[in-house]
Amino acid sequence: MLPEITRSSSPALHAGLIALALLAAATFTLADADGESSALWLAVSLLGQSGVALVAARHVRKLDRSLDKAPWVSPVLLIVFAISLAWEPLQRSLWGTGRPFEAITIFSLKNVMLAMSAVACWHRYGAWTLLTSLFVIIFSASMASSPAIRLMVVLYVVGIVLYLSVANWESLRSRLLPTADNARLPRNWLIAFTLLLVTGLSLVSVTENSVASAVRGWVPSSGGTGGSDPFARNGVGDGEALVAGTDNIQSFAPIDDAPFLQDDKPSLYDVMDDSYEEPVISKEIQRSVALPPEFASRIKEHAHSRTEKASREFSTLRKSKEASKSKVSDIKSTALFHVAGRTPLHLRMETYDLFDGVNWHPVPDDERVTETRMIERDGRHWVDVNSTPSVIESFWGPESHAIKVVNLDSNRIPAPLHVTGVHIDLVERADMYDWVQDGLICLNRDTLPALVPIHLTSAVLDRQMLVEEGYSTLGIGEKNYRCLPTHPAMEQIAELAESWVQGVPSGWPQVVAIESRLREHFKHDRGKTFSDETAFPLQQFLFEEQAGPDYQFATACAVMLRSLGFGTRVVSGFYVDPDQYDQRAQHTPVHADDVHFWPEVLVHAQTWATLEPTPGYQLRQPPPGLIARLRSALFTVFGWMSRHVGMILTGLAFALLLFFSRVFLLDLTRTLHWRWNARGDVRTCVLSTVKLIEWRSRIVGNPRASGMTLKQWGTSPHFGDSSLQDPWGSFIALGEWAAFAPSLPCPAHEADVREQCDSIVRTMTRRQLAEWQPVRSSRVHWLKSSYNRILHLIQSMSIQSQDYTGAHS
Amino acid sequence: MNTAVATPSAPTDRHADAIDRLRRLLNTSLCGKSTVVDQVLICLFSHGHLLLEDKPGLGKTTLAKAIAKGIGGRFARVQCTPDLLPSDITGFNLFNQKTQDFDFRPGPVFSEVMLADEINRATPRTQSALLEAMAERQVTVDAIQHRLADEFFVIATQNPTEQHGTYPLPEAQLDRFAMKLSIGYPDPSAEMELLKAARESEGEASESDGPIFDEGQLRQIQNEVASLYVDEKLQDYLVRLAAETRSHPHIVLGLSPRGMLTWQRAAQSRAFLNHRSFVTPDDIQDVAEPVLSVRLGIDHEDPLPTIREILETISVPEYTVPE
Repeated sequence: MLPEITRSSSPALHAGLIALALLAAATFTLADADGESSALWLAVSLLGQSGVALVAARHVRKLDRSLDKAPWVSPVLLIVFAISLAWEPLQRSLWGTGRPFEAITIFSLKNVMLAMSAVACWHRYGAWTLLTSLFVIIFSASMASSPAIRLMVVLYVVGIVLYLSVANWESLRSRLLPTADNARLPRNWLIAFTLLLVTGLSLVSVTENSVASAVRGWVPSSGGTGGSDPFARNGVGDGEALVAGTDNIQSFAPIDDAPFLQDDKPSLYDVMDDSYEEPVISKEIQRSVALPPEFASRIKEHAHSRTEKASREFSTLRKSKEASKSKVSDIKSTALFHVAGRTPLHLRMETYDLFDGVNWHPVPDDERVTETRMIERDGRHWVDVNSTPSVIESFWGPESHAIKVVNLDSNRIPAPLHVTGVHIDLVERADMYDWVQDGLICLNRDTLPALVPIHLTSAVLDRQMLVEEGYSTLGIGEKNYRCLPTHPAMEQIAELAESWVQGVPSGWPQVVAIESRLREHFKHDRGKTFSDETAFPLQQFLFEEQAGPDYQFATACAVMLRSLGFGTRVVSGFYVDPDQYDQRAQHTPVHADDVHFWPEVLVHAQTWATLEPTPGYQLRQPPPGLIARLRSALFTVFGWMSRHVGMILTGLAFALLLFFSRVFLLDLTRTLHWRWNARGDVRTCVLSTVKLIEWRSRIVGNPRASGMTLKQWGTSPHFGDSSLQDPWGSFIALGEWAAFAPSLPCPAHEADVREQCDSIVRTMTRRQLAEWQPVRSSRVHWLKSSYNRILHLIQSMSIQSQDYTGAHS
Repeated sequence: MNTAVATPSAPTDRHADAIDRLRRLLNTSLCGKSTVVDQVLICLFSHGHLLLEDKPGLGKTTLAKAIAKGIGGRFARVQCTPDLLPSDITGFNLFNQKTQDFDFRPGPVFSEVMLADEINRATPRTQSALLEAMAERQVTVDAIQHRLADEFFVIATQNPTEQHGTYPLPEAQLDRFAMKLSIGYPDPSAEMELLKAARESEGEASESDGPIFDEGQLRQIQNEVASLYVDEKLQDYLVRLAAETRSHPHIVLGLSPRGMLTWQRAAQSRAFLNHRSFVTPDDIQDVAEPVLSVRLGIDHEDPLPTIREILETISVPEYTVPE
């Protein structure tokens, strides 16, 4: 409920109301312009409406004094509304620009609101102004969401809270407390609260830094926590609301039926060659290829299957020239694709099982699953990818991600391990999808459609739980995942692996030991290549260089684990780097540089776990719980603090200095302000001197009570012996003259008066005033007076209620 | 430290000498009561009437006589009793056998200073006749109007209302008085002085001095007081104070517009006495107690705490540049 604003609402409240109305009007103007109007026009219209409203308000306030009762304003408001409506056809005919219907209505309402704010000294219009401004600001906020608008909405919210509390306080003061002298408005608290609120909210809503983003993540409807809320509003560009954009690649936005664009885009293999240099055909390859015979034949078959098709179809359906307006090449993005969802993420494109010492050979296409199956979940069609039913329960999820391809030439869907479902809007037929390998799905076409979001759900293997379950994996998996090249160096490598897991219990801990040893003691060097003469690059990597690109890490990890009896494979694909996260668009672009190799280890019959032996890359973990997050936030804060000790100490010292000298600085500012004012009219000089002394006296604990006259205050014992003595005594008389005798000439020579003011300011310093105080105000005193105030409040309220009950009975 | 100290000079000092003499005269009559004397003067110059609520023997008659002497007017005294008739105050028509016509015999109201002693012992009928004369400054006897003196000034005294045989004045009548004062007992040193002065002045002709004021001077002063400048901010202050008296939970009858006018006039009068040609908030606050205590219906025994509370609650106008 609105507090009643009395007819003679104080000028401060009226000013606050006008400020709120102007803020709402400015927000609407900004939202209405939508970045299309020029800055000059915007400034003109903002200044124009503010100026007109302020001038009108001033005029009305003057008028208010001469009027007995509030006049009829409604006709004026109606005229304002009509003129605002009539403006639209004029604008359309003159400039050819216009607004939609709803904007016209709100534009007119806004003008009426400004008119009402001008006459808001009459309480009826005050309440209406408040209501209308609230409506206008809500409407504006729904029209646009630029940081400026957000900031203005925040300011409005803070403003309205302040306004209501002040208005409420005033009405309480006048009603409940006949002796409201004790009950002053807690101005300091209000100011501090406002500052805190404004800083916090503007930090969260406007800035783009990671702190603000992290704070946003705590809001459950933001999608930042990975949670899904059917009632969340702020989900565009994220989760299930993720849709494609055709104009701007950053938008990831509002349609899910973007055209399937075609272009010459790099395939995974082009990307690999770009990133890792061309592969080298070693001369002595025949010597090193030493695979068991049953696998050697498969590699030959594989080579044969790559022959091109001889004949091609002829289509009678031809593209018109105008049809292909939007081309992928128009898009200014260097990313191969974009990923929305939690990162880091390892997206798999190809798996390799056989290693001949130099080359990794891909796993043959999966023969076991012949048909894909569609299931319906939440009214959407998903490919059911539960191809690897797991017996272990260390999974967390499902977690959703979305991928939007821009520049990747592949029909394989980049997906994380343990993918459980794939969904593309409108693609409802199972035969559109096909299996490639275990957990790898492709589309039954040449490439993935560009700019179409592909939704994925996947589970995350919780490595912590693997440890807790004491899971041991030894000697499982098919033979091809355990096969090692027969090379003399292999024995050396196996010994090395044994030495690394010395004393480590068998099973998962050994896997972790190998992985972490590689991460900690080897250096990642993406550009490093090994010379052509090297027959066995792995040997050189492990024993000589101890540095190399990620595929060497993957190879080393996989081979060493195989030598210990684990089933492993190597995967190539893309690493979604959390550092690349685009906070504005809320997704992560994946570039050609992000191509990556990593090993996977078999932890159970059909369950693989992703390993990451390469330093600098992270594994996706289940999201941490509340306590873990708090702890990590705390660690981050302390880490930052320890890195910036000097800065913090300096800032702290500066802040302390400012805090303890605040009174001095304020005094200095006020004295300078006084000096500036004192140059003007002699009356102004006297009155600003009064103000300055009043302020200084208030600071030392002797404020002039609101019901106290200058003379009563100035002659109190708080002014020591100087009470009513010259120059202070005669100065009080001067102050009375300056304030209450506008038509009378200065009773003394102007120069003398100025000199007297100057002497007052110089002699009645804070120190001097403080010395005169009979009782120094202390914290105990403050507590006591606060306690008394509360008692007084309760007492007067109980008196009021007694009066009321008495009246009723 | 500078020596040149500026002081606002006195506005009109034409009457200063006369006022000082009158003040001295009243001070010698009411020993050690300079505050009361100042308030009496404020009341006199604001062209209002005075109600004294006090015990007998505290110098009411002396004060009234001194005022009459000072302003050079006639002095009349009415001792109010339950059998006092209105005509005893206003006067009456007497049939003259010689002229075969009615002659008007003016009552005590046809004087410059009238003391109505123990006004609350008179019957309401007589009271209202007197109060009407005070307000209208004229009396009507047998349909003929008789104007009273311009300077007509009533000092009424009132016994504490609990006593037997009294008719308390209704609030509406009380509004006719500008102020209510209480002289109270003098302090011991003043009493010593009083005793000393009484012995010394015994036998001396106390009426040796002539009137202090010239003819029409009091009227002139009253006119000047009425036209003294009151800033708009202070009038607003008065309005806010009046509004507060009307909404205060302990006040049954708030300040009437007539009371507000009286208050402003009293404040002007105080400013005049302090040689100022403009009113300050101090003037308003200073006269608040005598002006308000006579006319506010306060449900407490002692009205002063409530009046002080109102003065403390309502903020005085800001000391800012006047518009």
